[in-house]
Amino acid sequence: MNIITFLVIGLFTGIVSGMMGVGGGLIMIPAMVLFMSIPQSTAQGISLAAIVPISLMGAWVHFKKGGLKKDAIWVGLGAIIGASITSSIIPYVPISTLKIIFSLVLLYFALRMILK
Amino acid sequence: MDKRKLLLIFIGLCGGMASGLLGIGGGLIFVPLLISITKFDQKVAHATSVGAIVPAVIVGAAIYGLNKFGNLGDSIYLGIGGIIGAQIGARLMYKIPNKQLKKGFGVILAIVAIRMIISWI
Repeated sequence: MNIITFLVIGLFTGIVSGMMGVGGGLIMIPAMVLFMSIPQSTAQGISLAAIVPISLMGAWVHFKKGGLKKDAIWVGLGAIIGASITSSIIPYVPISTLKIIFSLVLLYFALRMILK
Repeated sequence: MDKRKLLLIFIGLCGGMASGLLGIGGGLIFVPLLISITKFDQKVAHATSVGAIVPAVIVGAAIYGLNKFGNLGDSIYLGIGGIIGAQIGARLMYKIPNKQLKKGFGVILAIVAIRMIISWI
């Protein structure tokens, strides 16, 4: 049963993010938290690992079309450092705090979509 | 190291921090910063963003996993659904008028966000 739920959430996330250009994480994390009662920090970890194959496919397409340039190496380097820092502090951040930060970011991007 | 490379690393740092903190890819941060700070055009910004998301989420997922936040099996099913869905979504994008839909979806996301805030209170 869980397998089907995850597949459906993934499918829905893919369709919506493909159509709207919205990141998948902002969709699948609330879906896991609200529909499956998965704790915020676990949902975030599941989301990150799910984005690995999705972004690899995307990067491959851009690479073949020539859009992916050497500059990405420097951005990726910064990204590794940044992601290491914040991922490492997650065990020390209360789940309620994580949830409120996530919700506020989500609200900001939702309002931007509405007002744009 | 020249200033341009430092700026690119800085943009990576910002997006990477958002990725690890929120469990997202970070494209929401990468794309606007690459356009506004380094003056990339939309397409190159998008490609660069996706390229930077790959290492960010690999590192993030590994650290979350080490701390036992996550479930690889669940991620695989989400990923499979996501890859199939993205193909459908990208094709639908050209067929369905997007602007109203985007606003409508924004409203749904806003409600979801408020619901999450309320459930926290």
